[in-house]
This record gives sequence, structure tokens and C-alpha cells, in this order.
Amino acid sequence: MGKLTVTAFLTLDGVVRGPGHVDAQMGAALARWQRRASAFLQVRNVADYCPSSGDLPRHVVTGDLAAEVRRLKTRYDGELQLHASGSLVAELDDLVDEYRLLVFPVVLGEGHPLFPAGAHPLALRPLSTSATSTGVVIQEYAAAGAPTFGSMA
Amino acid sequence: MTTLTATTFVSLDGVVQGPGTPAEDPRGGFDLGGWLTPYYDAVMAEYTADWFSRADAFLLGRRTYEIFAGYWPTVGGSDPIAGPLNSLPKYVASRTLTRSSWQGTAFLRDDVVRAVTELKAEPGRELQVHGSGDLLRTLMAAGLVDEHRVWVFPVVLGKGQRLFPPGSARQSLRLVEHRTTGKGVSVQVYRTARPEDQDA
Repeated sequence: MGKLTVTAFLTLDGVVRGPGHVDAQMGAALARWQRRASAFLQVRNVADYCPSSGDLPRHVVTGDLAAEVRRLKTRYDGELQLHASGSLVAELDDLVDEYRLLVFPVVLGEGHPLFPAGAHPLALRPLSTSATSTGVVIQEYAAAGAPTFGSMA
Repeated sequence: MTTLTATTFVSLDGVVQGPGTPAEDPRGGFDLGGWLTPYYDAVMAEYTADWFSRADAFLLGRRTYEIFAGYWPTVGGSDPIAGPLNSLPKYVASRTLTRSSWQGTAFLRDDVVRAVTELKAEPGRELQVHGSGDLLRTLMAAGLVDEHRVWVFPVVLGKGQRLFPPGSARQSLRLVEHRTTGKGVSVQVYRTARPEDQDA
């Protein structure tokens, strides 16, 4: 059973954007993740960006994304990697196993959030955090089920 | 000049509503309150104590003020949060409140932006905003926030008021500090550009 990882370049207001200038530290993280891939997913007309796949398969999805991910997860043992555009994650719901987020120190005030209103509540388990010299915070999270709530006082 | 800092608890999807308790802020049918609590630990307490020690005064929205006023006056003065909060001036943006038994409270009734601009012009260390989402959006729109201290919690909520809602002013910030706590909370400190930087 494979797992689905979602990589996204985000603003501080949670909007998915293009990578812009990829500095050395960002490049190193992207390369490290890419080495773990078994296959790449590309969503036609939505996620145009896809890291170069080398010899690895690239699946271009045109129909039901969630159904395709379910099918491909049974086919691969390793990582099925998707580079997020827009609010794609909303369609995937609980199919995402890991998030790799690169958060840029800017606020745009418009655009598609990675987690739009209506996303299901989800707890995450941080796997690593670092920051580049240009102030991009790189965070890896594993999906960890339903959140818990409590009371401070 | 006094530096205006804003400390905010925010979910991974940018929500700031109701972090502390389930019933804290049910506006808009928000029923996911209390999401911060499972993550509070000693590292958060250390940062919080350090930040509160830098305050010369506090600037709060009405809702956050009422939550604070219902709790902190009952806590002893040696507490690193209660000490400063109980002894230092508290400026509260409110159109409805006029009096409070919490000593040191002053209400900013009319032009909040002008009043805060005047407070910042006075000499001092930090004028600190904690929580106070509605007020904070007003202050951000007016360019009055010098530093954001953001606690990012590893949880997606999918609803609730956001720190930077759509329509927020476009801006670049500078990351000056970051750390992750043992429970996976990411603390990120950002400085906003000063007006002279934006002209350049």
C-alpha cells in the first residue's frame, strides 16, 4: 500500500502559490523528497507543475482524483507524490498521508487556500521543521486522525 | 517609539477562533474551540513568560479582554503572565464597555487607529496585542503591527475566523526566529516592513 504526499508552496495566509525563486535550502528539501518517490501525480489543467520524474511513472489525472489516488495507492508501495495547486486537497480528504509545506513570509490576501473552508478537521504530527535564510519555513507533517480539544482554565 | 507586537495562536489553516476553551467564541456556529489546549507545554510557557516580561502595556479587543478579565485578576502577582497583566496599563478597543473593576484598564472608544498611533509615538518598550482577532485585523490594515509572534498548531480546522482572511493587505514580512516545541507547535516571529522599507 503506497502513501500519498502533498507538497505545497504557501503564503502566510495559506494560499498556494508558485515556487518563485528556489534557493539552495529549498532545493535540497525538494530533492530529498523527490528521491523517495515511486510515482508522481499530475492533475491536468489544475496542477501543471510536476517535478521532473526521471524514469519514474507520472500519472496524469483527468477524472476523479480521489478514485485515482485510491487505485494508485494499491498499486505502489512507496510514495505517490502530488504537488498541490489551488484547493486540490479538498477533493482528497483523508487520502493524504503527509504534507510538505514551504511557507513564504508574505501575505497575498487572495488566491486558493490549500485548506479551504469546509476541510475536515485533522490533527497532524510534525516530522521536521527548518527555515531557509530567506525566511521560508519548511514543515513536514504526517496526518494523524481527528484532533482533540480541551479547556485551558 | 513603542513597538507593537501581536501574539497569535493559529491553526495550520490559519484559524484564530476559540483556541483556549470549547465555549470561548462560538460566533458563526464555531464548535471546534479548545484546539490549543492539548499542545500547551513548558516551552510555550517559557516563551510566553519572556514575551510578557517585555511589555509596557497591553492592547486588547473586547472579547479577549473579557476572557482575560475573568481569569487573570484572580491569579497571584508572581505569575509571569498575571504579574504584568494585572499591574500594567490595558487599553481596550470597545464601543460597548465603559467601566471595569480590573485596575489599569482604559477604553479606546472612538478612533482606535488614531489612539494606537499616538500610543506608539510615546517612548516605551512593547505595546502587546494578544489574540484579539477583530482588533488585530484593523491594526494590520492600518499598518500598525511591527512584529507578529505566531504559534502555529499542527491541526487543520476547516472553519472559523482566520488571521489573514481573503482581502488582507498584501505584505512581505521577515522571519527573525522560529522553533518547534516538543509537542509540534511551531513558533514563528515575523517583523513587518517599516514604512521607509516599503518606499524603497
